[in-house]
Amino acid sequence: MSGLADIRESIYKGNSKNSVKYTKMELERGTPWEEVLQKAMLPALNQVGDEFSKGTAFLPELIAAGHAMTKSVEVIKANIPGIGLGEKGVFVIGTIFGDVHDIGKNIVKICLEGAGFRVVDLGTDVHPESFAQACRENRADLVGISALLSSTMLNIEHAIKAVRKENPKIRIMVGGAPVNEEYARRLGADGYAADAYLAAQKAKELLGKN
Amino acid sequence: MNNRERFMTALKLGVPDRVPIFDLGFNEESILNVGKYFTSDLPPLKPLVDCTIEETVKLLGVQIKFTRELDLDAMNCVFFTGRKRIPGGKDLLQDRYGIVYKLSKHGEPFPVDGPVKGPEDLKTFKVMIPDPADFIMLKFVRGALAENAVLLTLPGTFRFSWSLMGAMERLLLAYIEEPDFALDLARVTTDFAKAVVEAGIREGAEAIILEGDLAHKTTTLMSPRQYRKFLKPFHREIVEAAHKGGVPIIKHTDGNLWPILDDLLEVGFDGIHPIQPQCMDIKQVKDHLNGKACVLGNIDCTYALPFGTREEVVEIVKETIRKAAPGGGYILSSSNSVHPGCKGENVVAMFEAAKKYGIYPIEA
Repeated sequence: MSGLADIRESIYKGNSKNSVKYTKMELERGTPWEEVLQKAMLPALNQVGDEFSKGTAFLPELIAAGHAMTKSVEVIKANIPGIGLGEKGVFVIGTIFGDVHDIGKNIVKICLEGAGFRVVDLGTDVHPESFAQACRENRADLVGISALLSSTMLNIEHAIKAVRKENPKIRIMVGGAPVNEEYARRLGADGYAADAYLAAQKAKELLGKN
Repeated sequence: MNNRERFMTALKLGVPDRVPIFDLGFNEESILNVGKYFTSDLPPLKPLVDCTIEETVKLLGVQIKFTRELDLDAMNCVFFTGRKRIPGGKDLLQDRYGIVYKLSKHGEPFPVDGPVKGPEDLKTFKVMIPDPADFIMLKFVRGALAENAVLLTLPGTFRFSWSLMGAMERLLLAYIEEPDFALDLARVTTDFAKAVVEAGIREGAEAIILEGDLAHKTTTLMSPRQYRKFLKPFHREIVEAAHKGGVPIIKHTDGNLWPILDDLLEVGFDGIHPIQPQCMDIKQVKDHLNGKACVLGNIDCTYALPFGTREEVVEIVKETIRKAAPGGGYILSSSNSVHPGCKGENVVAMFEAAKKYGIYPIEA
């Protein structure tokens, strides 16, 4: 296989050791990082994402591919400082106040980083005002609010209002077990996604960076 | 039939006199939300970890009281692991097995860190042995409820494994990157789960519920192939441990289980709980499980119990009974647990409606 094919295969298979090794080799060979990204890394992640959406791949494959992708991105950043690689935007993410579940949020984070976003993770149990503050301090393009418990869904509405009050143009996404498209719209969010891979796709779509 | 007979008859796929009722989980706040309809003598609302012994006993007393008053057929007991606040750690708890939890404002502890990050940690990890204090709720309830089925819920192989790692995504990543480690960890946690099951049966548990979600809204968390490699043989061992003790065992998992539902049946689980209405149709599940395993749950706790009216809840109960109860083998409960967002009046309405409309014979 060629170096690019090796990188693509290792990310597709979620083998982060190989993705790091082959990415280093390819950069040392003089291949431009943009080519590594466009021809190997992104196609691999998109392939896993498509399979995940079709139900032929599952969370372990998605997580492992996202992890391998992130490791390869770190290699590029370390070798070519200051390139602002693939920064599609700044995405602030957190689980809403009253809710300490973070599994879904963490998997969305992996997919967002793999898709080229800089993710600011506020963790769980995040107050509405803390979302607003983090968006301001990080000049966020998007914010993602997660909830597992239906009892905390009302807090999402408060968070959306707090964030919008400071930045009416910011894109807001919501997700989690009790949330659906209709409820997201009713809350005033710009986007909803049913799973982690679709969340990353939706984020790119909202910024017009597909 | 008394409550126990009713519950066990349905769990063993028979037709009881009426649809049995119970719920998997109540926490501090939801016990008070429901309990206030039956007593004014309530303990203060605070996380269990901060309660005095007297407050803990009182809280449990409230749950036992409404179990009797509502004529619930079973009471589920939590496997406690000795969680204590970490000094100086804001809202952080740690249990005796080293798992660190973040406590929500509703009192729910959720694992955020653990003692086994990788293969090296597992080499030095102390063998987990259940502590007699882990069964304190079971012992108490066993002594207090003579007529009801008393159940014990414990985390299974999957939940114990990812809790020890501190995050589910770490375990799912290990399925790809470190499969041998994932299997070694499953061995450790399965041995522990079997020891808990055996001790729980000795303490009087009449049915076991193995928690640990295996699915999310759209499908299973892991592929069927991964389930068969990393979990199925271990689940079979836990099921065998329960059956060896003469006790049925129910698998609890949220989400869309269709990809592995037949595997769960092959393993030998006696019941599947809670059949989330957003993910699976109860009629289809009942038809599929008919004669193989009991169906439990399905009353929506995402919208209906927290935000619906009593009338809406009653209609959902009637509809669910119509779909799932004919022929027996159905036990009614919420579609996950009675969490703090559920309105107490709706929870009471759910159980009262089940008693009213769940009298057999029930025609399809």
